Amino acid sequence: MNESSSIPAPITLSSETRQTAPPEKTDLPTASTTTIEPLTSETSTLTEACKLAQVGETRHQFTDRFLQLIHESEFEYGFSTPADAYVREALNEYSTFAKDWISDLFLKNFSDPFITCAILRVIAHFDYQQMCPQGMIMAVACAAHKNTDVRECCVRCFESWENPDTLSILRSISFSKDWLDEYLKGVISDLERLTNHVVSR
Amino acid sequence: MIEHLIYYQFGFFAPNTHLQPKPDIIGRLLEAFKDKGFIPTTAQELQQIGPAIKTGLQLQFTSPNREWNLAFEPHRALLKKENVGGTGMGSPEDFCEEANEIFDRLLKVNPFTGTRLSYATKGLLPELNPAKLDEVNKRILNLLPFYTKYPPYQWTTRNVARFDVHLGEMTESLNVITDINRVQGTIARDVGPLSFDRIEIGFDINTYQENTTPRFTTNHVGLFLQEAIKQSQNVMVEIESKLNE
Repeated sequence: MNESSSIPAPITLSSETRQTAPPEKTDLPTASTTTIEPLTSETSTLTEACKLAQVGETRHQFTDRFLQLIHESEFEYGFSTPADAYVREALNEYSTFAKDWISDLFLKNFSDPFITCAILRVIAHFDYQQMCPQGMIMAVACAAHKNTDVRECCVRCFESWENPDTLSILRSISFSKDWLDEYLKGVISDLERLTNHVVSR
Repeated sequence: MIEHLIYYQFGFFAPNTHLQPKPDIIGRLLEAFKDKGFIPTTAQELQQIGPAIKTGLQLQFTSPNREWNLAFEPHRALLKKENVGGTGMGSPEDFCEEANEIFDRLLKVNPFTGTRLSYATKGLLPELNPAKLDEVNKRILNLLPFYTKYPPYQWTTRNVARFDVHLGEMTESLNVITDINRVQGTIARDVGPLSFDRIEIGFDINTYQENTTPRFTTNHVGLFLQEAIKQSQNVMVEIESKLNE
């Protein structure tokens, strides 16, 4: 099979051709087909559908405002920004949804070092558990980023969270730049000391 | 011949594939896929339990351009390569090789034993002139008089067959599903969306759903994919021959 590179994806089918797949339940293997769309696009009741539609609307509002604040804020280590306050408010109100929205925004803008760094700087100001697991996942994703500033922000997140649970992740990371690798090793030893301190107490 | 491939997908069904987004699990997977450039992420997951919907997080590893995605769903680990434009989709054999390597590494880190394997792909045939497009379903279907009089501009067909094949030392029942559809839609282009009206071909080739015995290991991934690709190519040759009659 060949593929013409002259026609890029994505493809959107017109609404008449969209097939509504049955909800994927625990009895998935009983169907011969394996391409049933996952339940993420399905809702079982009108109430749920309305609830999710509202969340979708709020998500757009949150994303737009957060991006605006990111562009308006001046990020300096140790100083809180209006973007931090906005995320705090969203976390209180929407809990895990807000973390998902940040995570989606992060992934969509992964190639943009400015936005990626800004998101990392904001999430670093929150408690590890409060941002877990999306915060930790965003930070670790940046360990492989092409941009050095983004990689540095990744290590700063883990340094700021001071959570020994993240040691297993940090030990699987290494950097080619000496100073960054030294910095990472420093954070690892600090967390190890923290673990030993907790154990010895 | 498929001109525009939409995706390739390989599914490894097993009971414990719903890996949690925890530091130790992510650390091990990061190490395993270090050279692939995959980044961890999560997706909101909705599970229907009776009348209620439960939300959860699904761990995924994805390439930054979202071309590749490895999702840890509740009953299967699903590797998908999507056409994101510009990078080329490669051949089914290329996908097979990559999927084999990814699952070889994954199963070393998390030794799941699979209960079912699946390969799926979908793509569009080259544009046909309107008269030829109208001819296609007459060649593959015996239409009702109504639709002979008023030719349908949109239709779907699905054929599912099941037969035994050998995967190494094992004999497996294989479902071979072929979808041939006429679809309209839009393809995103830099200059704006481009409307299309084409024949879409989809294959979903998988082991029999009623056999839920844990039996597949890393050795079976490549054998299964080779068999599935062979079957899809055989059907594709017949589709082409039918359309060119």
